[in-house]
Amino acid sequence: MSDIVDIINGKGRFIDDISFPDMVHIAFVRSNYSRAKILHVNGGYLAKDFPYFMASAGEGATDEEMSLRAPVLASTYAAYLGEPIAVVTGKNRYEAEDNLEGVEVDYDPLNPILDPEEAINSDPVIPGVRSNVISDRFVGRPFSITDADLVLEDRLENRRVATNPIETRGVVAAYDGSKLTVWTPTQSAHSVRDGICESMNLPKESVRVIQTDTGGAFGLKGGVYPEYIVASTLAMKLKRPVKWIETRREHLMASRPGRGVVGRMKIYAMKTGLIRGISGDIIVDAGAYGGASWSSGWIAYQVTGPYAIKEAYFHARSVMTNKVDQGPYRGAGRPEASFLMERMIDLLCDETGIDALDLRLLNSAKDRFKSPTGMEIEPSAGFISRAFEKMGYRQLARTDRPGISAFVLIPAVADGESCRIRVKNGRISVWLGGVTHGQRHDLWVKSLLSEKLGIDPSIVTLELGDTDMLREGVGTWGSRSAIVGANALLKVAAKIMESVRKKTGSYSGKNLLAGDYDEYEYANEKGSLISFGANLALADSDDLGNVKIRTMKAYYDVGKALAPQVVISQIRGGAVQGAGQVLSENLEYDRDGQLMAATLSDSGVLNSVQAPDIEAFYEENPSRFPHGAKGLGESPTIGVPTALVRAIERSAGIRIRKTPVTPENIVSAKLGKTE
Amino acid sequence: MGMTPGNFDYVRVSSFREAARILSEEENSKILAGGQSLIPLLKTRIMNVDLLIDISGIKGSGGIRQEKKSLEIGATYRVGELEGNSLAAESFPILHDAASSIADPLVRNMGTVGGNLAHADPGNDLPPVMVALNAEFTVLGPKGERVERSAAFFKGAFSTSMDHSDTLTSIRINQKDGNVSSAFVKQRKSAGDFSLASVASVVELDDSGNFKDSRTVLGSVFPAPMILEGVDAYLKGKKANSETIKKAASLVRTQINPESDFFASADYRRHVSSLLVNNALTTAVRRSGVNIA
Repeated sequence: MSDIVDIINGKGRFIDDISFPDMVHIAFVRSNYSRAKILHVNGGYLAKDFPYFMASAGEGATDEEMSLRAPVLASTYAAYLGEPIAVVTGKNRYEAEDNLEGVEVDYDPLNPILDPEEAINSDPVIPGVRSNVISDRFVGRPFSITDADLVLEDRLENRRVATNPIETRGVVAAYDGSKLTVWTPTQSAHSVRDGICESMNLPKESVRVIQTDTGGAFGLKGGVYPEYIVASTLAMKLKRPVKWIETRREHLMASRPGRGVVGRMKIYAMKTGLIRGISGDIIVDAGAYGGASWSSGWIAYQVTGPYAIKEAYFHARSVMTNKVDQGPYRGAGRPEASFLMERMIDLLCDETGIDALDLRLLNSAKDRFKSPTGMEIEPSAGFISRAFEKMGYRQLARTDRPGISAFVLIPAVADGESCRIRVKNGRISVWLGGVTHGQRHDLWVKSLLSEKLGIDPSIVTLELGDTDMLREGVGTWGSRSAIVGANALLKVAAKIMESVRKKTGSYSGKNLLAGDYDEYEYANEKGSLISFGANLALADSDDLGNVKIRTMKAYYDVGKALAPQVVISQIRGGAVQGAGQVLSENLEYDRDGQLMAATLSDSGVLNSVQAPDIEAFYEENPSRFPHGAKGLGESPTIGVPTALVRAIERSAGIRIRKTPVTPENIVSAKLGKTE
Repeated sequence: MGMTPGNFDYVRVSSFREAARILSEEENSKILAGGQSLIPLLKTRIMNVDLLIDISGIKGSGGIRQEKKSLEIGATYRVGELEGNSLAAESFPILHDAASSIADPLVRNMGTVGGNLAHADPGNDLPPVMVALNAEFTVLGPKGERVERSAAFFKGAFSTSMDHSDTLTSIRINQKDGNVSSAFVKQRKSAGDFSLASVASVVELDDSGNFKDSRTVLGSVFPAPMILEGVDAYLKGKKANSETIKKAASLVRTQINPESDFFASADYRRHVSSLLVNNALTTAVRRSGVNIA
């Protein structure tokens, strides 16, 4: 990656900075409708020029996962607003966009199916499928509790939110007659390569994917998109480099947003506050081709969080709608699961009058606990006590109305990660499969290597992702990359030390730098690594329904803070996203299927004036890995929304069932009207 | 789908007269001032023009002047300049209220007072403010200069009494004698920059603390600013206290008939409008030196 100071000074090398003299710029004609027959298209490159289907690659992709084979371009049917239909070229961006006017599309608009609950039993959202339910699972164990004092039910919802990194998607593809090179900002160069190879049926050796400086991703940039296949195909066909940069409007309508979950939940509890069971019907709005269809089952798996709830059973479905595919967004199922659990716990607090912390402590795990869904957690009671002690909950609760939350973070450590270390001319270069895209992986790479190898950290460079420089790799998502990346890094460092010993008789930093070494390892990883987190928030709301956040606090077990300043800034950034989801972030369509957000501001992202600060604490209970770290990146988007929603709920004296919590929702709930 | 404008020509003029001449010669031309609304429309190609006539370089087209009994604001005076002008804030606190709450500092540094008015976006904040102040707009057209009353200027969404070859050149706000004060408050849409509703209020109190005169204007709820005549009629002659204001504000709920749309229900618009009337009047009266709860 570029040096951080260079990035701040505008000297980073992002995707739009990649340029070639004879480069072709492309622009897309996209469906104006959420659902329409395409009667006729004239002009530009069309579906027949890209005779491929989209591969499933990146976060959560597995061979078994059912998902539809989406076309690269729509030909006879548009299944969502913004679906690409035709591509035009130009010698610069202006010309390409001028040429959009030369493409004619005749549509026969159809009634769009936008609501996932409605889509369960409606006509197919795309022709040729039997059911819109693309993933249908029962998770946990059926149970019957007939002697509960309280059975509480509620319908809870997180609306869709855009991932909205400041740098949108983009790609530059070039072909030299034998090899296709693709530059793109990404969370995983290898996923993009594998996706392109699978879609276009190319051997892996013939495609090189190079990561550019990446201006945020948040789940968006883990996989491959139709636009990347188009750019790659045209680069090979035209024998000229091809560039595409996404506009914000395209991002909002045609990249993969996150959330979009409804849960009809039921808890069985005793007057003492003891929760005996939880069940629910969990429905994910998967979009037109059933994107991230794994997420409904994944949400169900972890609903019980840090609590020892003995019975749990969920019906988890991912349902196709006439919207762009859903994708992972910072947390990717974890925040949704926690929202469903914590909202029901708060409801139980209100019904029983039991204090929010007492109720959570009562239901926390006192010993190791395996949930009916198979999730195994360490005892959580001690952590929850320490967290709220540190955040001063008891004192605040005496005079104020804090909202709190407790949760589990399950990082996606499975399958491990790769690393390569090259020592040459007294400098050390490092490649990781889990690339950095704003998280400053370079800091812990430098500090761990400096400590392990006994060298000056300033000679170490963390390189960007590049499939020609690193054989295989997974990617950065699911709060995994420091855990599995640092593990691989230390393993490769040990290999290098061994090589130095073999060559020079003994290891020293000096001996190391006197020679050339190059080692690689893919450190596989089975099993899981669950950690706990907790949040607290205080907020006020006025008669207009406007919310003012007064205080936010976080307390997370990070295992070991590999780079303490990054821990704090990760919490800060995630808290802004968590608060944004609660206060305003939304991708809403009107009844005709037109998207109501055309700009970054419309989509509800908090600006610097609105963004709340957060007081961040962490504790360090080392994990089983040699570096001791646990997950972190997604913790604030899990813990902040639930605590903040509760704080708003208490300040306004209403029940909140949905994010975002708009001023109108607050006012109408206060006035006793249903939403 | 793009983010670059189509082809257009650009001319930077040195006088409003030159702008008016070119405007009447070129059919598909448009005045460019701060560009905060126009440029995004061009970049998304929602609008296409053949010629942009940039008036921001006209000498004396901006600036603010205190005359004997009025304040004269040049059309290209930046919103950010207005925000920072203590003279304007002192004479008409409502101007500072509005200028400091428009979008964000980046937009305010470029956006102009004239542009905010002439574009007549229902979500804009200066239109109701100018109507409340009973401002006069100087408009230059092919037949020369004319003066338009702000209340007659705004016709609907993006629609004013100006036609294609007219240019707004300056705004005059007359100062009334007596104990006059003002306030502007707004509610933003839950996401985005624009107002869902706003209220601009100018009040005059007599020596015994009664409402002598007032103008209360609702912005952003309807396509054009709406003078709440029922509120003003109710206030006239009554004691300027919180009961009077509360009662006046409650009248709004029955006196307006907004629509429900994607951004808000009619009920919420009524609720917000009523509360904003209450808040604007309360602030304006307090600024007159009357202590009210």
